[in-house]
Amino acid sequence: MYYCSKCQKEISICPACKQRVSDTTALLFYQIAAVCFAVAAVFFLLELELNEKTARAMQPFKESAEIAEKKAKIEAVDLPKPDKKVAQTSKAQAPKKSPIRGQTADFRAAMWGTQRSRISADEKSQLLSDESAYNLDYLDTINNLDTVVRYTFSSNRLDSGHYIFFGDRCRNLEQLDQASLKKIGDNTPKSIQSLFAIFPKQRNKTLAELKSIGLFYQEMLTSLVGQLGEPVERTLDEEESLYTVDQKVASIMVFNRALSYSWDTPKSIVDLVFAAHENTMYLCISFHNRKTAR
Amino acid sequence: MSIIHCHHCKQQTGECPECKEPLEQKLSLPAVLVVIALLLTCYTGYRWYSAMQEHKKAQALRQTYLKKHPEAFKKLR
Repeated sequence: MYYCSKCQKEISICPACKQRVSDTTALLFYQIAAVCFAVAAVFFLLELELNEKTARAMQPFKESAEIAEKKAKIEAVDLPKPDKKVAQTSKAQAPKKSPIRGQTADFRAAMWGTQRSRISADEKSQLLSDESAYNLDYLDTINNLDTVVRYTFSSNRLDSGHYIFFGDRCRNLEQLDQASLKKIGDNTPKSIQSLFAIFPKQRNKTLAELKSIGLFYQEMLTSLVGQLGEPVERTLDEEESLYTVDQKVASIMVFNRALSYSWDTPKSIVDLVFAAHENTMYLCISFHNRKTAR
Repeated sequence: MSIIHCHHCKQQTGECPECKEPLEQKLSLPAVLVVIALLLTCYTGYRWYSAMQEHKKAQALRQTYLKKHPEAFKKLR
């Protein structure tokens, strides 16, 4: 646009022929801008088309990723199920309780599949070790006994839990007539032997005599049998009733043997392992996720 | 100073017909429009280029997956 700066007038008519004149430079600028806008519009449309193509190419992968994500979420959330109606039963068929007092979920306060970080945030007991990627160990007191509480994880989700009781080295074993003792049960597995090295200090002094060990073992076993019924598997099978508790305890402590019992419950597999290593008692009650238990 | 070229009478004028002062030309609006249009072009061009790169990556990923799992090709079709 042409204009006069002095009289502030726009000049759009030729002073000689009075015909309309146009500013060619401004027109050129407008044309360049129009071309640029057109190019931008083309780029925009091309981008839209490319995005659509990319989304179409990735669709099967995205769908499978979404399905996997949803599956993981569903597995992580254990929805509460409505209580089954329990018929009136006799005292002998009382509702099953947890073998360890205070356990309300699958293992202590945790459900199977709970993430490790959540368990470490919720667990109030004294932390013993969190160095292993698979185990998380705490020290708790149950029935006035130091108990190692071990959480075991698979893919960072709770897979099983263990209450482990260690005794101190058993005294007065030399007073026994070892020649007349029969070897009962299996040899203590190496996996159990290695646990003694991990927990060298949490040994219960009260579990250092055959009598107290026998009482503790019997108490734990009868408690589990009372709550979960007869074990579905046990080391001694039918021979279990052939031996007294004292015989079993003496044999295990003297010869470093192991006895195990298993129960099958709707959500968990429960194991009781009673063993000895270097004449030191080991008793472990384990809870395994039924879905992932081998 | 600007000069008006008349396409009708083929004459050139460089001063105001009333006050005879030299004429001036206002080009700020078209210049601003050109700058905006150029910036917009660059931005959309860059986005198109990025989308192109992403598309190439997606195609490569798809091809690799289909090579490893040829049975998935039937499902995709």
